[in-house]
This record gives sequence, C-alpha cells and structure tokens, in this order.
Amino acid sequence: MIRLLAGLLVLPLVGLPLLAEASRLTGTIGAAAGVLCVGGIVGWSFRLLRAGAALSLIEYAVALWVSAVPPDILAAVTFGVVLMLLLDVVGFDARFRGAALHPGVLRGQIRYWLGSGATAAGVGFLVALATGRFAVELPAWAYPVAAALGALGACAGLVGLLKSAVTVGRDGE
Amino acid sequence: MSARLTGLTARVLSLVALALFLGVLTGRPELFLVALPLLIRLLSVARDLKPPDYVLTHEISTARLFEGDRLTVTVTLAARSRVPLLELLEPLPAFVELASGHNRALFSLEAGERGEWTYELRCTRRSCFTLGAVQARIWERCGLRVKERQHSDPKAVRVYPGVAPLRHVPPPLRTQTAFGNYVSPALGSGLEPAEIRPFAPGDPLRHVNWRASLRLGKLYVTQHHPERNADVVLMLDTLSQVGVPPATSLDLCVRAAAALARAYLARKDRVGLIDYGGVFRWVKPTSGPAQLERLFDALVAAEPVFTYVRKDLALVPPRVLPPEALVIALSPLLDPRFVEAAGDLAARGFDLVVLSVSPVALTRAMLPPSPLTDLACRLWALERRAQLAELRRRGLVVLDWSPEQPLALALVPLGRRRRRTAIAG
Repeated sequence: MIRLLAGLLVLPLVGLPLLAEASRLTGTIGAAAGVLCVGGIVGWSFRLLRAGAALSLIEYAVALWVSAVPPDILAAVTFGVVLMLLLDVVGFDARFRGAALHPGVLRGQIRYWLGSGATAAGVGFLVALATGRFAVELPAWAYPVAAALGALGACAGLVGLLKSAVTVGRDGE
Repeated sequence: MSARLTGLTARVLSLVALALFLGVLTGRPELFLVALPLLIRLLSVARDLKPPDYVLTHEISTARLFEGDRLTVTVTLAARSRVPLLELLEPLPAFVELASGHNRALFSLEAGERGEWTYELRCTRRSCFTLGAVQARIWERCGLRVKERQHSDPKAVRVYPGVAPLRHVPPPLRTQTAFGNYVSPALGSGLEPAEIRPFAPGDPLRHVNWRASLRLGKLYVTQHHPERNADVVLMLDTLSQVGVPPATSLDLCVRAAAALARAYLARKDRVGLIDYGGVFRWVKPTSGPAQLERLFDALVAAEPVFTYVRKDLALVPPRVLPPEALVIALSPLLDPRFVEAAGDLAARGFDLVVLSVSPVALTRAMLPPSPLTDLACRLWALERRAQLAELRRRGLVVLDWSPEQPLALALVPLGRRRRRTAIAG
C-alpha cells in the first residue's frame, strides 16, 4: 500500500512541471526523474529517490525558466507538499520495512501526513499572499542578490539550528 | 537517552538548498514556495522531543528447551502517556532464527492503551544466551530525529542438544553393586535363574528347587543372577571438529552423548562425562534426573578449545572414571591425542567403546562439488577405514557412525554382540 501511495505521488511530481511547459527538454528530464523515483520506490533505494526528486526540481526550474509564465502559487505549493510527502512516505517505509506494525501506527501516520500536508499548503499560501502584500521596490540588480543572501541565510540558519538541537548521527535505514 | 538526527534530515536539507539555489538562478518565486514545506518540516526538529512514559514487559515461554524447539517471546507495552512512534528491536542471538512474526515492532499508542507483540524463535543449535535486551527508538513522525534507549530484563535461555530416542544401548560388560536393569554375571538375589546347587544350611526355603530335589532325592536350591546397574562415562572429544554448525562433528557427538546419557539414566545407571579437549572438564557419575540436567548443562558448553598440550587421563580422579565403568568415547578420531587417550584407557582394562562419527561426509558437505573433492574424500575415507581397522586390531571396540545414519542404527550390532558376551561372562 505504501508503495502504491508513493507511486501515486510521483505522478504530480513529474507531471506538474509539464503543465507549466511541455517541451522535449522538460519531458526528457521529467521521464528521467520519474524513472529514478520509481526505481527508488521499487528497489527501496532512498538514494535513487533523492536523485529523482532533485531531477524533478530541476525539471520544474527549467519549465518555469523557459515558459516565463506568470507565477502559479497553487502549482508551486502542491509541488512542494508532494515532494515533502514523497520523502516522508518512502522514508517511513525504508525505516520500518520488515517490522510488525501495531494497528494504530498506519492510521496515525496517515493522519499526520494529511495534517502536515494541509499545514504546509496553508503556510505556503499565506506566505505567497504576504509577500505580495509586503513587496518592496528595489533596483533590478538587487533582487537576485537579496534572494541569494536570503537562501544562504536560510540554509545556514537551518544547519545551525539542527546542530544546536541534537547531535548529528546516522540512522538505521 | 540520546537524541540524534537521521540521515533523512541531511537529504531534506540538500533538497531545500537545491530548490533555493534554483530559485535564485532562475529568479522564479515558485521555487521558494516549493522549498517552504520542507523548511517547515526541518524547523519542526527544533521542538523538544519528549520521551513517552510507558512500561515494557518482556516474557518468554520457557527458559530451557531442546534444539529445534520453539520459544515464544511476548512483549507487552502499557502506555502511561501518548506514545507517538516507538520502534522496538530485540537482536537475535547466534543459532536462533525467527520461526514466526518479527523481532522488530512499531507501536503507536494513546495514553492508557496496551499493545502486545509476540514472535516465535527456533533454536537450531545448543547454546546458552540471554534474551530481554530490547532496544527502543522513539521516532518523530517526520523521521528526522530519533531518541534511543535500551530496556534490560535479562532472561537466560539454555538450548539443550536434541535427544534422539534410543531403545537399545551398548550393555556394559561389568556391573556395579546398586540395583539396576542389567543381569549381573555374579550370583545373588535376583529374578534371573542361574544354576542349581545342593542345599546348604542357611539357604532360604523359597530358593529350594522342589522339582530337582524330588528327582534327585536330595534338597537343591536355585541360585539367581542379581540385577545391577552400571557406571557409564561418556568421553567427548573437543580437541577438533569439522563441518558447518549446527551439524559439526562435535554437534553430532554432543547429541549422541545426550541421547546415551538419557537412555542410561533411564536404566538407573550412573552416568558421568569427561570433556577431553583444550580445557579438561568432567561431571562425576551419578544417577537420577538432576544428573541428566547437569550433563546437559555440561554438553551445552562443549566447544573446541585449541591447545598443543596433551592431557593425561591419569589426571582424572577415580571417582570420575571408576575402574569398572563402561567408557563410551565419542570422537571423529581426527586428533591423535584423543586416539592415544582411548588406547590408553583400553590398555588399562576399561570397558571401552569408541563411537566415531565420520568426518568425511561432513567435510564433503562444506566443499563445492568437484572431481578433486570426490577423489580427496575417497582417499580420506580409505585412510579412515585403515585407521579404524588398526584400532580394532589393537583390541578397541570401534563403531563407525555415518552422519546420515540414525544413532540407534549405529549402536544395534554392538548391543547384540555385547549382550551375548555379558551373559556368557
């Protein structure tokens, strides 16, 4: 059942970028991403799945860059939530494959996935709305610089936060 | 209890970084929105992961069992607070395999709820191990962080060697003074009639043979053979072994020793054990059910210990190796020191039987089939046949036991021959 769920999540992950721009290039990248994701799900390889997810991100970026369509918040939030759920579902299955599951485990986990997906989607929409409302005018050259600084700051902040929260180790996957 | 991040965290972080990088590169805000759910997921790690409050009970169906038997493990979890995701793992000891169920379980319980987890283990080889060290992992539902702890409720389990039923065992040539199941060649009070002799003053009247007395016109009494027990000492060769566990030559010898010990103790004999190996150990001959347990405990611990030292059987005290005892040596006859020790016992007048398990078939099973292996095994089998013939020529009673053959079948010819010898003696 988990495999089927993961397989269903691969469809929007590969298909959403094609809705933005259906070209040979995005189709090729999407097909490669789909094969890697399905290979990761069937072969229980998280590395393949991660490679597939990264490729689908690249596919989405290429589709947006080539098409130059106006921003589609719904598609972007859906893509992000699907990506998060796919990693969650496959990670859960990889961690607990071969274990005896108490009846409440799957029920609780599905409830958690639905809740966290809805929360992430809600937060995504709120952020999109808020950024539109609190937009500031900057010189043209400053936008990419500000975005890069923001991205770097977010990553550095996350690493610092995680380091301080717990000691990093290897899991038993 | 230690908390740590899992490998998933780094993977999610790398995808977040990639999404942000692509967003900056293409200048599209959608990619920042794509990274947002993953960022939220990562930020959830900053919350404190409270350890759940629960009581874990670990039970096993039995602490003593035989090879091939099943052992049921039941783990009960009573949650005092909410248990979001708890993974429990009980590592399997060597030579123990899962018969049914899983040795890893995942629980999600509400406060006051109870969960039970049962699985069966099959013990394939004699061993002594401890169960009850359950490792617990408390997972965050997102799988990014885990806390670990260990529950220790040690329970010792002893797996005794498998015992094949034996209807006939090699009868001893000499008996002891206590009551038993063997007809002693000596004369005394018993059930088995021996010979008739003239009546002497003091003979009990119930021993008078009235038929012979009437025919011969004089009082005659019937003498009897008493029923006596015997001392049996099992000598186990732990100097060497061949084969793959759980079917090494030592495993087979240990199973044979266990079967013989049970069969002799059931006949009221006193049975002892000498572990002839790198470490010299013994169990004094005694009778009774408690002795069977002592012997099984000693057999469970029998393992080959490498040594260059030649152990002298003169070190063994007479109470462990009584002079009139039947000694059954169990060995693949690979180590010349054991062969010498057996020859030494025979020379000292012990009633010795060598039960030799053939190492050829056990070794052949380990090797890949090839013409060279076949040739080597055939040569080895010829050498072994010559070795056994030489031992028989020296007066030793040697039984060749092929591993595919049941033990009872290997013992039958000797039983018939020795029964005749014992009665004649």
